[in-house]
Amino acid sequence: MTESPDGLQVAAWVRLARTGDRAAFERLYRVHVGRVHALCLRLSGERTMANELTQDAFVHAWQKLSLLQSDAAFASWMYRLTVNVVFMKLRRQNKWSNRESGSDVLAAVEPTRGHRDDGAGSRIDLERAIATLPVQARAVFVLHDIEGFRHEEIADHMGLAVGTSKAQLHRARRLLREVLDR
Amino acid sequence: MTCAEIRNLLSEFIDGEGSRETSEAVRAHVASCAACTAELESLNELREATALLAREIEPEGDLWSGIEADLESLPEDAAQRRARVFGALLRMPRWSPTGFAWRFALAAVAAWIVVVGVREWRSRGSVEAAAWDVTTIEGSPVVGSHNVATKGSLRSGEWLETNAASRARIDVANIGQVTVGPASAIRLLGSSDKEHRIELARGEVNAFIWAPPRLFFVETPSGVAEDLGCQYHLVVDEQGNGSLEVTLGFVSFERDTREVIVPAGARCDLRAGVGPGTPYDVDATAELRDALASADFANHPGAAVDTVLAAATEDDAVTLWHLIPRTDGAERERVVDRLASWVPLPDGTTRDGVVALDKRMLELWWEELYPSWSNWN
Repeated sequence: MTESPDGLQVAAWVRLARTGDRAAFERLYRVHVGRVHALCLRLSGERTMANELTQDAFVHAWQKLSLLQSDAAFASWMYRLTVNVVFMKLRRQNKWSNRESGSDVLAAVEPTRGHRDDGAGSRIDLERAIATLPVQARAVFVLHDIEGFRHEEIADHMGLAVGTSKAQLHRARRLLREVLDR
Repeated sequence: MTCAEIRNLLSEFIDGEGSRETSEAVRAHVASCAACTAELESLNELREATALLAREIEPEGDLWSGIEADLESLPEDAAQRRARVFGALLRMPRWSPTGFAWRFALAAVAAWIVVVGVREWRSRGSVEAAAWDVTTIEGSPVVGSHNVATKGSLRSGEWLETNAASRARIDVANIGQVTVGPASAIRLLGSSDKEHRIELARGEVNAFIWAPPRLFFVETPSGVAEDLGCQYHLVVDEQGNGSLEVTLGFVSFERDTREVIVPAGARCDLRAGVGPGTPYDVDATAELRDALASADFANHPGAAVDTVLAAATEDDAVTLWHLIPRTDGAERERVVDRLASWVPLPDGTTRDGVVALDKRMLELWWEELYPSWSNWN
């Protein structure tokens, strides 16, 4: 993982990247790839697809960089763009119906545990439980509870009513507690 | 309320999203119900555990080389063009016999402007402009804190403001002109040979740009207008909402992942913090516009597609083309079939491919609908 640069440094890289500076864009990639990949992995549930989606998201970002309104807002813009790339792909591949996935997320997460402290096991259990959620409930849970998106944003991204997003979150939390209590 | 009803409200309750009355009812019930207290604690434990999950998961291998190869293999213009055309929304314009004639007239004008405008732009070179010339049309526009009597200049970072009785014209470096309407505030954000960028905080501008596409940008509270050539009217009200109407050529408007391309003869509504709505023909019916607004901005898609299809005429092709990726399943098929009944799918496309959102096929269909597109992109 790359050490976090400050906002001014990121904004400077964005400005350079907008002029076509690949080295600056690579720095942006190094700083943000972990979170972008986590998002792709949790939303898609498949490691191979997550790599493709991560790649697509950065290529897409390069193409659209000139439209970014605030250089300092690169991170949030990048994550929203990533969500859109993932959903477009899932829809295109007809994977937007309820579907379970799972083991790929765990395989990717477990090596990141490092030294195994007391909380590591429960985190893996929770990752496992999230990975078993139906795809829409999982997407809403990941975006709302892990990534901090608002229901309005989720509804917009997923093409749902806000009430449906809330209902899916309620469902996801209930299913997770059921799985974790087993 | 029963325990079952309370438990259905707990998820919203811990997020602080319920109404005050509902929250008080939940609080009162939980205080006297051990089972629901346990349920609430379980939800809080889940939330605490979720907060401990890793925010970052590095991919196993380094993906940068693949990304770099992709960037290398995509000709920049083609990549940008695809990104423009196939964003979250797509669009398409008029098509009727009268619209057809008008469209070809515009295409001829557009082609002339491309040739003459680019020649002019090249002859002047691409030297960075130190300041843009400002000419008073009416009243007393203000740049910074100075009134512009007849002529003035606008430098990077400076604001140009007009009151209800003033208007001004700006020469945008060597690439075009912008007329600033009454009660407007614009700021020059930057001007170089790679791009020219202004901010429209409120009011209205008429832009006429003769340079190659993608050199002139206008930032608004609703997103960014990107000139694809060549004339349009952009309005921003006090709330930051507004509209974009194109009279010649095409304009892309985008905020985050919402994107539209508005062709001549079409308009789209803009909402601060949200982005552009689905474009529509300037003569579209109120029913059609209301249905789009409801689906675009009020999160109530409801029967929007039914309403649009019932109200749509051939002039609304722009709307239907943008709706293709915004609909799903049978609804998308109905949109595609209606559009195809007006503008048959061109060679190289299939119904199944378009329904599956094949980018190349959507682009080909777009070009069939807008022959002048290739003059600009």
